[in-house]
Amino acid sequence: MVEKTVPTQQEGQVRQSTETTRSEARYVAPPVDIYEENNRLVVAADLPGAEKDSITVDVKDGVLTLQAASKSHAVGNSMYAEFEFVNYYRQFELSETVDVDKITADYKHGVLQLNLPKAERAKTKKIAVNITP
Amino acid sequence: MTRVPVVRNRNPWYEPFDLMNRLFSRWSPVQRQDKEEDDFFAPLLRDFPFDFGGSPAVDVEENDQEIVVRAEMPGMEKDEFSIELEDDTLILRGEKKYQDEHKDRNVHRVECRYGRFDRRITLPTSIQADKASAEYKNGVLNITLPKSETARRKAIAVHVK
Repeated sequence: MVEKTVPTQQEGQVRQSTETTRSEARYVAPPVDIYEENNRLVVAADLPGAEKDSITVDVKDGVLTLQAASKSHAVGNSMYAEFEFVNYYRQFELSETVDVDKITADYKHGVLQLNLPKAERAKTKKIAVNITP
Repeated sequence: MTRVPVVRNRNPWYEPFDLMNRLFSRWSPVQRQDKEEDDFFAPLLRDFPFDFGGSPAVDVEENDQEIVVRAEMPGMEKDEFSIELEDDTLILRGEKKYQDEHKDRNVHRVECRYGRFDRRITLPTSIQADKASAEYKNGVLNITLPKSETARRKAIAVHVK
């Protein structure tokens, strides 16, 4: 699970890319935290400004794709700009141990949290060791 | 544990505000997993004010009526940050806590920013502090500061003789 939860954005490894020719939208790969706990893998992505309805998460051929869009709320002339409302796009390769049908997602305060439960066979099992003297 | 820089439109030549503001914007990137390392580096990083990439990214916009300051700070709760006004300076303070109380967590990747920030923004005109309002939505803080009467733009009628 560890090795395979990697971004698929590396050179020559991109399985599908967003169409850039006809769209002026700019894409930013959002920063993510990934951790594993209680037989699930959690992916938390910072998507500040993204509208809830615009977020799409899908899994195809073992690749998790997350996309989101944010609308500009400009009210006047920009005097100083360090960020802009952008679209987000990032892909991760999933290992086969993720139960794809049970993935859930929450969005709160600009953070998208994906819960990826492990498949039954990948769960850790405790094995009791009997030591007989 | 990589810190991935997100592409930002940061033009150092277009900054109407004092560069000193940036220097005093403090940030302690608490992006570590093990406690020992945290205890050792945290005081050093907290006192190191030259981390330009740290504090929340800010946009400032202006129209005839108001100044709008926007800060990108995803994943925070309402009680984790504060906004203060001191004359013509807007002070944005807060701390995004790294949830490391979960001991059974196996961390693979930490790219999101955590830690304390203290950002001071000098406002370009005088404002009506008592009419200021703020809204936090989708991880973006929107602060609306109505300009004071004297700072508003007024059209001057020209009489051509």
